[in-house]
Amino acid sequence: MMKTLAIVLALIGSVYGSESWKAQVYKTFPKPLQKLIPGKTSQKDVEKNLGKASLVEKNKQYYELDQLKYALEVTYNNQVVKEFSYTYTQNQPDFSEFKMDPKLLSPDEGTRFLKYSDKEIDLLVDLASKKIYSVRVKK
Amino acid sequence: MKALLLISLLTLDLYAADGCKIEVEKNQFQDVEALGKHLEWHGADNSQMQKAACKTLATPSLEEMRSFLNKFTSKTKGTASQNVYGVSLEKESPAMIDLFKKLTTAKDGFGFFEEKENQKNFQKEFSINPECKKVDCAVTKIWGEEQGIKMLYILAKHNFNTSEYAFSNSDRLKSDELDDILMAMEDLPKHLIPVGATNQRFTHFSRGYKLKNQSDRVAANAVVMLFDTWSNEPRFERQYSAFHEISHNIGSRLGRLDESPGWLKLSGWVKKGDDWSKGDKACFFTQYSMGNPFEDFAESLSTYRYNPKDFKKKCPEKYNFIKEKVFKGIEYTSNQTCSELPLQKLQDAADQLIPEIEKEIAKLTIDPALIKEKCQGTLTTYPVDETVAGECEAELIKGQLNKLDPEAMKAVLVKNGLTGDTNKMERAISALAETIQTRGLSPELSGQLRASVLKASDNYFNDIIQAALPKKTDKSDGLVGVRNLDFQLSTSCRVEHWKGEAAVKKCLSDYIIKDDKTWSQFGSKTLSNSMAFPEGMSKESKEALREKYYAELEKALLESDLLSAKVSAAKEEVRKQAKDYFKRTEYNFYKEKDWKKMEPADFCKKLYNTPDDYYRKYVFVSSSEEIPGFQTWCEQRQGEKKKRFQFSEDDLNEWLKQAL
Repeated sequence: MMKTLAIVLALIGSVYGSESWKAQVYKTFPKPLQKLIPGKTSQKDVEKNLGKASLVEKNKQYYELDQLKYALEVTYNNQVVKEFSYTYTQNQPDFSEFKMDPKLLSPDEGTRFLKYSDKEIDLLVDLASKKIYSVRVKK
Repeated sequence: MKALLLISLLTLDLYAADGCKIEVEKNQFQDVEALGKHLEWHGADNSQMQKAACKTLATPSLEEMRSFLNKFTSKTKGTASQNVYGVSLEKESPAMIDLFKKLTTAKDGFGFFEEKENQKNFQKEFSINPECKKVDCAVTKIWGEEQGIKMLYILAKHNFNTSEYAFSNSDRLKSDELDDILMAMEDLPKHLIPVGATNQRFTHFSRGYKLKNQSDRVAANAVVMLFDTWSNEPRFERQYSAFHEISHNIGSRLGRLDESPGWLKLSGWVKKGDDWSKGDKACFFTQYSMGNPFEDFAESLSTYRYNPKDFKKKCPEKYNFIKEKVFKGIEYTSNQTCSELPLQKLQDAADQLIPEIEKEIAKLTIDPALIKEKCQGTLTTYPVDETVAGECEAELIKGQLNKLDPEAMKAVLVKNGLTGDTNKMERAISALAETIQTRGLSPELSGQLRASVLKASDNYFNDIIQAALPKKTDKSDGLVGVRNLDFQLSTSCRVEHWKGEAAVKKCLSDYIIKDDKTWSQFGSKTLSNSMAFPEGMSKESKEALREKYYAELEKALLESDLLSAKVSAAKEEVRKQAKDYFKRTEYNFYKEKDWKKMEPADFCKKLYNTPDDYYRKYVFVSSSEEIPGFQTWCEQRQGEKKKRFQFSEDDLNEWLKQAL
């Protein structure tokens, strides 16, 4: 188990760069989510790790976590994870834990969050608490 | 060329976020008030904000703010001396120095890190030393006394930093803008203060600019940044907007309450990826609250605070959730329930003032004019019931309280341990007026006052109705309902002429009212929409008043001469058509053999009973019945002679005279 996780984290590190703040963000996910790698993880493996989805719509699967419908959305392309979006229902990490340049944040219109977006990852940060609210991993 | 133009337009958007800005086109969405009303954006309009219970209508005095700051800073013992960006502060409270540092330290747009490259030297800029070595006078030199002390007060009490020097892309708030922000904050109950995260931004964004890709309609965001759109709003709308943004922070501060299972369940909020969807049967008070649970929460809190009665009526579950989880049972449905003043003390003060007030009340002439002046804010509910009448009485009592000697009034309030603070005086007087009203004046005066208020209120609404009744019924006003009366008279109402003028008028009246009801809901220029509905009147009350209007309208149309001319003209037309019918049918009938030998009953039955059913129905009746009244008259006339005779024109005129 630990060996698998180490391999996965190494994979993630190789995608983002081992010192990258994005790799750090990954480590804050619940353990089963840390194994989700866009472009690599199969739908079967996702279901093996996370169980049956609460809702399936076309190429997306939704998981209800801690009474939040739906804290996790996984999108597939040819039964391989294309991207996923996770909303922290607990243990929100502090934004200050990551070496991310806050200048890259901007207010998310219509909510109380700040957002960051690039080709690989989207991030929402709660300004009042300065904690990460949600992450969308695209690559 | 077109491609070049397109490319150049697209490249205007290629800037990063907060650090860069694009110029705003002037004169966009200036009429924010009209836009908001049309879309039901806000949960309370200006009128409702103004008369909201326990509304802060003035900022604290300088004395009160300094008093607060003294108490605040006294929690940290001792004094310190420190140089803050060139300004030498000596033997100053460490807490005050900390506040001053926060106001003057340049940080990024969200307050994450310091921006040394933007840091101002305040001594160089404002020459604060040597005369001034305390924070109080330093802020006075930088912002002026009023503004400077307010900014310190807001930061100390509410944790919000309004300094344009503290966050990038900020501009100085104007005096009235700062006041609106402060009044919104002071509208919070004590247990929610402070709402802001430590040293949280609450500034005006650089004037003339906005964030990249931001809609022009955005007035503010939850960071908190205020934009030009906000500045252009009327004062009370600015306060509402500020309170809305503060409410977002409440959601976060109360352990993510705005996304808690309990809150999400109320509206069936479901998150799929980045999008939120709501349940079919969810209750929302404004359109803006339908976007996501965060806006839903912020709007609901704002509506709870400023328009609680309507909110409670429409969305009771949400109301109760907010009452329990956010406001800890405090309601804003009356000045008594939210005054946070001890009820016993209010009652004691009320008892002392009642004899004086009774003398003043007895002098009043309670007529619609007085009701309009004093109670226009409360008389927004129709029909007027005991509760609404009570609110109006409280307003009248408040009016009389305000006529008493202010020093004497203040003395009573202070003596009873209420307040002598000018900021809270208005609230105390409102709460006092309600207490006097509920406690009751003498039974005789109370009864008189209630009866007078109810009567004058009825007259007040009656005046509104009467003023909107039509004075004429031609097309010139262009009012829906009275536009097409001629057409109705020649079609659906024409057969009513045979039942009498009253029947025709009833038919027209029914049409006018039906047409009015159809088009009023779309905001068209109808008779009933021309009523001067009191500002802030709910939809239900408007509909009730509209129903009363229709009753009065019908009465006016039936009993007056408004429709008489039209009806007479139409009747003449029907008469002509009837004669025309006779001529057409007689032509063939009197050619028939042995018509002179017919029995009267038979003769009369067949005379005008032609196969031309369609035309007969058109002229006389709406069914295949006989020509009304003709058979009886005809038999009587024909019975006067042994043989049948042809009716002359005079005969037919005689019949038409009695039939029509």
